Amino acid sequence: MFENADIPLESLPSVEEVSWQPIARSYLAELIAGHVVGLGIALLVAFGGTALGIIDTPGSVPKGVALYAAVHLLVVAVWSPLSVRHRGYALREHDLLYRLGVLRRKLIAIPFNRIQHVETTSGVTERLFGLATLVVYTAGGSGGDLKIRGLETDRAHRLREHILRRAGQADESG
Amino acid sequence: MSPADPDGWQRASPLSVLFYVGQILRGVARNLFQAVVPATAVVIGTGWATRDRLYSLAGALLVTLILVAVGRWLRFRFRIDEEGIRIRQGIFQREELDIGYGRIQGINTTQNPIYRLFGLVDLSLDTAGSAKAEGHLPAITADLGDRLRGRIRRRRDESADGEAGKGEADTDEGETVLALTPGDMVRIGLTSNGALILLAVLAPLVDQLGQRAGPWLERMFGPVAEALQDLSAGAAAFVAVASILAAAMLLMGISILGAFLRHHGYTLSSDGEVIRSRGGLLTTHEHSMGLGKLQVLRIGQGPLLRLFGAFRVVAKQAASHAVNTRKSFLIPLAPPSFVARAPAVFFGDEGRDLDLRIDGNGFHSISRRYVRSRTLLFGGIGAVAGLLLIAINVPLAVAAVSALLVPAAAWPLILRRYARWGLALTADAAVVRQGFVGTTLQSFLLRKVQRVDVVQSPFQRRHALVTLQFVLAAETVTVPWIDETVALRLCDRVLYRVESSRLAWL
Repeated sequence: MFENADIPLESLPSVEEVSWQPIARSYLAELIAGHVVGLGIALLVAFGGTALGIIDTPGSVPKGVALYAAVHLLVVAVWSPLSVRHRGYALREHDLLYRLGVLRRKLIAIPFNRIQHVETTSGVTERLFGLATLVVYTAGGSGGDLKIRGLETDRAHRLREHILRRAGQADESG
Repeated sequence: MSPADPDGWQRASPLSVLFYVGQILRGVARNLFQAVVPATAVVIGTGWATRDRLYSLAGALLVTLILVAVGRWLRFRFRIDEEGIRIRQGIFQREELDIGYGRIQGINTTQNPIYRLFGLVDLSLDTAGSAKAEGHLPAITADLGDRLRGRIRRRRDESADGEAGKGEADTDEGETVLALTPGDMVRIGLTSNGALILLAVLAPLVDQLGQRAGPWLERMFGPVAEALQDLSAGAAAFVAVASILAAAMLLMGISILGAFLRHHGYTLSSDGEVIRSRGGLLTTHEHSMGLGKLQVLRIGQGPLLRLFGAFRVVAKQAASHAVNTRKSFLIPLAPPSFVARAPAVFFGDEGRDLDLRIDGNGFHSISRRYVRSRTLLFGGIGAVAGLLLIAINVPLAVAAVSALLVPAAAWPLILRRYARWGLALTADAAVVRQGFVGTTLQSFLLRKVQRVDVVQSPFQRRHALVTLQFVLAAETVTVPWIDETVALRLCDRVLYRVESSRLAWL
């Protein structure tokens, strides 16, 4: 039996009233560690190479690299906690919400019945910190429509299973 | 190939060899620079090329071409059964392609004059997948094409409400909703963007040509010019202008001819489920699309189309990002009366209350802050430009004037763009208007939205404004600078429509 009752707009569930889940705290550490490793390699090459005479550069170049590394780390140290604090996701009965952005803020909403597939990925540094990234695809965007970085691995897997199940149910009923 | 078993494996008509020859030649042309040019250079450069050898080389290439084309035809088998269309092809690299009926978004057929003699068509299938997986049946009988259409329709009916099919052949074309006249062909030719772009590219060239030709023409028409002695200075200018005009006329002529070739006798018909266009002078093109596959309907009007009071309509289907223009259904020219009917034609019942007229008054405008933000942006660009000018020792006054000139020049354009932005909403659908020189409407059914983004820049946050983006399978529709609470309500509403919808979006 098909019903089509009139639904007052005020009674619609609102994206403003959801309880946002923060992402894992260790993601901050992973984020900074990633930058530290990258900069460390750059410093190692600059100083080590010069010391061993492999790189024949004036002494100011390693100093320049060091200065850059210091500034870069400072920016990362200030920015990353803000960036991590502003990220959050919310799982509702029919959709997945994600928000991010410190200055330019973004709220992304994907209904389960539009999800094509879901995957979890984890890179080397992510694995070290026991983290994973959840990627959700719809038919709309190019590449992943939604990437939630910094989820604990088992939570990411449970989320993926849940979303997959919900997407499947939505397909069957639709 | 036995006609007694229409569901069995079949071979295309031997005439499909023609299609394959074309396909191979197109392939060669595409790789012209990588392969053919170096090869030719080697052949000529080494002095190997005598007249006889060149002839035999050309002969060998021709024979190879025909052999490959015949081989492709021999290896090509297809089958239309309950599940879908199966294609087996390839000489060296074998290809097996199965396309389920549900995945087919549209059917295109083209019929060139030779095929018409034999009642054959080239048929290609639009699918939502990558451009490469598209099925192509060269030189099959027109009856078979119709039968395929019927099959797809029958499947759709079954999946829609479980009723029995309406019959095998699909001869019922429904109601004709639009027919274009030869006059319309001229309008299409004049307004097609291709001609304008060509004109823009060629104009400087033509101008130079005119200048070069000037002295030569003067010599040729010297006596005439002498007769009009006082006008001889103006004559050169006249010649230049005349040659530009002549070139423009020629291009327009070509463009109009192209419109006649492609769209002559254009008709658009719909039976409420499938929309079908047919047109073409020598080669007839037929294109059909299931209306359920429509994602975004675009109605555009450039300045030239505005002059004619007409519109260009594109029905966009789900497409992978490997760009394939065939995946949109084009109506090259539509009068206002068609645009007024468009919601019913394309969206059926769900299109009720939807007003797709460009100057309709149902549009909510965006925030006035848009103008201020953009003006500030251009002011910033102007300031940077001014500083740069000072840095290269341009007098201060000149730099200051040019710094102010940028936002001043941008201002009316920003106002124009602001005035064009608009959003209108009905129970089931939405339409967004935007434009600059021309105007474009993007309309879609709320339930077809794939994803909603609410984006807010720092400047927007100060004034509680956001930019709303509806991501659909065909393209993204953006509504900038609207009130935050309104946008979130809209987001809620669209999500509700999507999540409570039990209809297939594709």
